[in-house]
Amino acid sequence: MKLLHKMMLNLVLVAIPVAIGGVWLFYTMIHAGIQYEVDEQLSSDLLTMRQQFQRSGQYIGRINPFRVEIDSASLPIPATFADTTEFDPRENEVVPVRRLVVTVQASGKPGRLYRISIRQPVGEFNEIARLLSIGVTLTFLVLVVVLMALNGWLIRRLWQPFYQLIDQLRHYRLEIRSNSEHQPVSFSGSTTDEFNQLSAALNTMSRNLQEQFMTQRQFTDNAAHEMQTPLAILSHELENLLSIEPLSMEQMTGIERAQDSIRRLVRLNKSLLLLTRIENHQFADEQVNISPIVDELARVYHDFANHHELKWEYNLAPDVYQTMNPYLAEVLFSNLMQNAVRYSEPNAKVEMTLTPSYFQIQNPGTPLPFPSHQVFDRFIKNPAFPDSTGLGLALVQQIAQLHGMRVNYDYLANTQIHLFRVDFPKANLLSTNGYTIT
Amino acid sequence: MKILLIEDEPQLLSSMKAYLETEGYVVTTASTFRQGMVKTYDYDYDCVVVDIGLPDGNGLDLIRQLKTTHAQTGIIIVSAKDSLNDKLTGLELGSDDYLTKPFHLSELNARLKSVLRRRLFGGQNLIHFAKITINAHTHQVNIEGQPVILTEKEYQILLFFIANPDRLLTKGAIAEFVWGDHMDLANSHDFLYTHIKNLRKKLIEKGCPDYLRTRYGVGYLFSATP
Repeated sequence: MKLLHKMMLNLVLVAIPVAIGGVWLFYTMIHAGIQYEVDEQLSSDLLTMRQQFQRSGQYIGRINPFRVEIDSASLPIPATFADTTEFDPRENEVVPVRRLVVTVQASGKPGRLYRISIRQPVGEFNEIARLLSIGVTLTFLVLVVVLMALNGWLIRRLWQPFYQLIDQLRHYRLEIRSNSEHQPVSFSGSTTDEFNQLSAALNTMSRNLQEQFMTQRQFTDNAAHEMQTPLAILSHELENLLSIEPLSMEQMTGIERAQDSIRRLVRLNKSLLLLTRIENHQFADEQVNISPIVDELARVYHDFANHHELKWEYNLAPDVYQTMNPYLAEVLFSNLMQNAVRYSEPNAKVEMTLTPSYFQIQNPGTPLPFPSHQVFDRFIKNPAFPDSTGLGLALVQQIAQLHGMRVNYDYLANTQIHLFRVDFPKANLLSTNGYTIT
Repeated sequence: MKILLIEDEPQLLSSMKAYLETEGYVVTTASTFRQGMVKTYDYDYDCVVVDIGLPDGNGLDLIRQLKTTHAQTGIIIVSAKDSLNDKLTGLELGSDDYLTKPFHLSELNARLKSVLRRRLFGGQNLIHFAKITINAHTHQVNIEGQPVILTEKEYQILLFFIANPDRLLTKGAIAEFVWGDHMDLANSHDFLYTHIKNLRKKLIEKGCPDYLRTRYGVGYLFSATP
């Protein structure tokens, strides 16, 4: 729910009970006031009549005769006010009436006892009270509507910087843009103190995040780099050791095993470095014809496939252009092909297709020993292949994401086929056949 | 052959120096950019192996200077960064080859030989090894005048063996030289074995003595001396 709507709702929720209570109170007070005034009028009439009775022993009739009834009474009763209704022949309808009934002792010895009933139609007064209430209610409603409109307008205006900040936050990305550009995003200030504080706090946070991010990135980068030299030394020393004659079989196989491990470390290190550099956007994109790249790799791996007794079939569309880094393109397709060769069983058939909109590679094989959604995760590997770095497919996904491509993995259980498919971004479809449209 | 090694890591420098000296090169070393600049300015070398990630200067500048003063010197760049840009810049400036750390010494040796061959004989020379003659330009292999038809991979394996004679070459080193990064495959050693088996068979068929010896399944030794 929007802030504006919340405020409006609260305003309405408060306004409605206040309006209902207020109208009721207003109506009651007006009613009470009118009744008081009417009763006072009746009492003053009674006083006049009582004075007349006491002075002259009879009623002279100065008051409107329709309003007064005089009977003789046997027992004295105190003054009693009552609300009733009565048929008014002049208006031809039943009207509400206020009535005062009392007994009066006339002068003389012994004075006669009269029962006096004075009445006052109050229909007009009620009408006034009703009109007043309606007037007040309407005014109140108008006031609420005006207030809401004003509030809405004010919120929209005053909160403008806030929405701007939200928009900036939404587009906020932690990344290393280029080598020298280390300026973090700066959030704009405003004339409102609160928003100024908010943007200042966001700026501090963004700076800290950026610094931490940079340190972390540099750490990975440096760590991977720093490892290259000791690895090179290790590998060289082992190589020099191997040239010492004579070596026993144990010594030699030991050295070879150590070299194998170094080679694994080097691969791992290179992949990690590559991942970091992809994340750091250190690769420039260009318009690349990927068909020859895929074709070349398909030939390189053809040998491997033959050695593994695999049928290696590929159907590649010519001149498929994509905006990507040529080196990364090579890594992407090469990793997918290696993957297919490695995890296929002998005599299986690996099929590859390249079209202007996608690249697909499929190979038969046993199901994955882990959930299929983890297939692109780092360091997730098949325990049957401990040599794997567990980074090849992670690199595939990272490279695809960088270039706006989507990689899907599917296992067709009935035919036992692993299927990897890279969907190229739609925008690039126009730029096939070498016609670059930008 | 005079070689200058410019590398800031002393251990790396000494292992490279030791290896190349046993190959019969006269090796001079420099461990800083300044030293490297002075030595390349003062003396003539047949080839300079330079690490471009030196702490006190950019190795690329060194290459620029070398190109103006000693244009005929061969240059091999060594870099810790597997960066395509550096590689392209280096090759554009006129370096002959580019190696990414870590590399095998046998690979450095093979590349060095190829650079020297190109530099000194314009690539037209023939490589002789006992009864084998190789034309590096046409990739033609002859055994006592008889041509041997080799596949590209077999040719490269043979070249690597001949560049590093009498040395134990591990399967991993050979595979890396021939296939580079594509060799990230399980049981790739098996794969290499089939290629070497074919190469050996082809050579013997043409009357070439078996120069190849296996060492406990760890690697191979290519030697003309029995």
